[in-house]
Amino acid sequence: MDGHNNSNIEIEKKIRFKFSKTGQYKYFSHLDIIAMITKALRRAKIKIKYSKGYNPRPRLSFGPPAPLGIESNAEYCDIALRDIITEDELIRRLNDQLHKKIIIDKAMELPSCIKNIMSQTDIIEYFIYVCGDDSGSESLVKMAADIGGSDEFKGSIHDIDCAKAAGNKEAMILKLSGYAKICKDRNPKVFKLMNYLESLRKVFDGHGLSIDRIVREELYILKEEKMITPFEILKFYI
Amino acid sequence: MKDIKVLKYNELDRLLEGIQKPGRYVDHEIGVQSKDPYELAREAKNVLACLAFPDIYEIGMPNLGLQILYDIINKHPDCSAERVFAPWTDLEDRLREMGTELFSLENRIYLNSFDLIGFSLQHELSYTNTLNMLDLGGIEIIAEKRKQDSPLICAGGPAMVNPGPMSKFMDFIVIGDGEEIIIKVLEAIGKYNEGGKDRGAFLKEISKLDGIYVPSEYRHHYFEDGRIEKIDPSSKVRKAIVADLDSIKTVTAPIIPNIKPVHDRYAVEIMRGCSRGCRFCQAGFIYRPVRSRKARGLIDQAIEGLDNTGYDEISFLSLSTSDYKGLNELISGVSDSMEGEKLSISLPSMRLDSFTIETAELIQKGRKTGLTFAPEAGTQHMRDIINKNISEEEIMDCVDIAFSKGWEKIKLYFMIGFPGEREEDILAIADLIKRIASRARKAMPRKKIKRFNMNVSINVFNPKPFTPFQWAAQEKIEVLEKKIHQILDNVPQKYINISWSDIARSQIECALSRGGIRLGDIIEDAWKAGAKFDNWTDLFDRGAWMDAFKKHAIEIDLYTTRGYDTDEVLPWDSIDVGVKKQFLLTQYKSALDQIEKGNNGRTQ
Repeated sequence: MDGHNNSNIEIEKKIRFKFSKTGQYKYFSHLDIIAMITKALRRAKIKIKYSKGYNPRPRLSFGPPAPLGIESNAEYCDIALRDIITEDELIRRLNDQLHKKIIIDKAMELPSCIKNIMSQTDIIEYFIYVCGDDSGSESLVKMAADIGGSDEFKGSIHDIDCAKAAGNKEAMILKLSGYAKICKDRNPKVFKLMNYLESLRKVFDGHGLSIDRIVREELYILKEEKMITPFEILKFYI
Repeated sequence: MKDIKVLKYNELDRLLEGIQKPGRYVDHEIGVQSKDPYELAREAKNVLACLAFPDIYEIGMPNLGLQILYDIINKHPDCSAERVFAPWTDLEDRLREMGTELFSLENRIYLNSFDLIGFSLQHELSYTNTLNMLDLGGIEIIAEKRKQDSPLICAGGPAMVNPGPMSKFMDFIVIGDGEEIIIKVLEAIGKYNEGGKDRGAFLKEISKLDGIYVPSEYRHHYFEDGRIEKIDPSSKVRKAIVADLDSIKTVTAPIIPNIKPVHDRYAVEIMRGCSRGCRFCQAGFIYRPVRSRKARGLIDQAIEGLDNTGYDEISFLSLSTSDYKGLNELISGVSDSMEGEKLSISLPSMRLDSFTIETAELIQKGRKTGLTFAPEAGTQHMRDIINKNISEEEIMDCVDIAFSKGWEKIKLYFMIGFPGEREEDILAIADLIKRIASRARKAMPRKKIKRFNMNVSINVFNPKPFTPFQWAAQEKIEVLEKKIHQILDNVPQKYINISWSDIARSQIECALSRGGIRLGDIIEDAWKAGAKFDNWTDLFDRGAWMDAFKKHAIEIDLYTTRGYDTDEVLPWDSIDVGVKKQFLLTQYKSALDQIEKGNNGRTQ
């Protein structure tokens, strides 16, 4: 047993890591994923900090929950450790203990003063993979314009764009970034994917397109009107 | 090569869209061990088994028996086990609407493609769910109508010690400990597969084993009033017993549920059986003899299990945990290994007369989980009748220990409707609850008093097979209702939460546990009328059951409010659980003597 626990000097290292949950893991809720990661940390023997109080809880803080049934490449977690381990070691030890449908791919140390990932996040970007016939590409562009301009989505969408999916000639991607929180001068509404999914489907149907899969691709923070990732923001704290 | 049909992944997506908690229906947990079914199917001797639990994932996963059998089967080189749970009603509707059959979690194999489906029946109110799952799997529910190539269907667990009511639906029933017999059964299935699947010959072969009851071999003959005249043949099936628990390692790498289960902790069984002999308690008799695991080995296995799973809570299971000799050694051995990590220890079934201050001190180092005690009755007289040999002084000592050692919550179990119960016994329950509450508050540190909380659970007595009270009658619904209200009216609601069992449901449970083969028709018709999830308050449909009894002109009272004659043939007489009927009768008679003594005392 190391002596740190008994000493008065509390060692603390905060790390932000990013992970994906894909395949059948999209069926697990945010709370399920938190419990999985908490157990994996214990299996990996990574010592985490606990909150104070009657019922101490591990100090983990997650980004806004991805909707149930949606795969994600952009899940973030901020963690406070009682151990001084490197970011790479955290990635390796934790990935060893997790099912391969959850993969941690990046981690960076956090300055202690930073806000947690949940309150930082301004924008959530979804990639909607779309199938259609040859003319699909044009329809998609048109459709993107339709969505961007419609009353239903106005005020909650930050940006909408189209692209060809890499490696697959048939498939296209509708890149949709929506606001995660309300900012009075900028957007009056929060983008809630699941609330809009039915309407989105209808628009797609109208253009002869169908949704293949939806992936939450990235979280962004608005810094001087620019979208930067939860890792890029760390530069500003050095 | 066997033909294995599976649900494709893209179809799963369509099936689960909009379904509540879709994670219930997929695997991918840490600890999954199933083998590649196609690889396995190359050889006829290999067996593909499905462990079925007739309730939802969250309730089924903490079941230790399920984890044990899953581990044993999958460690056998020629066998693989997958799991299936009862789909919640939303998925059931979707499956029926889409014409999709029920499938296993691991490889999404349709139930019809398995060699064996084994149900774990923990209580009688899961009988209809069993039929429902077979039906959803596209499997004929009536055993004798099943075709040669249909999976073999079996059941085990405490609700199968009286195999009668489910006989109609089962090819065979496992009585007793499953750990050793399961391998013998699987090997027999391997031979059955190789030999061209002669169902009759297979069942005859396995019926020779201890612990295997083959319903098709037994007939019940009845008197006109519905009682059983004789059972043919009169031979008995002896319960399967694992003689030495230590010969089977506990499961140290169980499946860790991905969805929060009802008990989210690592569980190890420290002792099987109970020597206390409370006269109403079925578990106390059917799990005999008492067998313990050695503390030393358990400490190592518990530490290994915690390391493998990452749980922060461990539960030491047995029917009477505080009676386990090495309890303190075990608790300190495991907690000392934690290197500063938090660990909560949960001890179910603590006895009020063997909970010690040392044990209390050891558990309270971690996060305190609730404490549960079962005084069962309010008066010494009634505790003597039921053979719950604890005194009020012992109860109060226990309360003192717990609340002075930092507990703020306690749960108490009581039971009403026992044979010979008088009004004063009922009122005494309310009194005892009040006295325990005031004693607890006195023992607590002052600043904590605000957090004091007590949960009281009132259950209804159900006479159960293989207990001394198996001959006793269940009380009428109206009487039981009145008794519950008497308690409710006399207990202050402040900081005491009382819950009580649904009496109408207890009545059905009683009939199902004390009935015979004939009850199969009732279960079938109740299910056809929509009965399922009978243990779920919102879904229990009494009407479906009462209509089924009416349709078959069977009075439910025959099995519930009727006391059985002590020389009557009992529906479960084909089973030998290891406790002699004569012993149960002696126990019953001494209870009756005590009742009489009490009554005489009062008239004097």
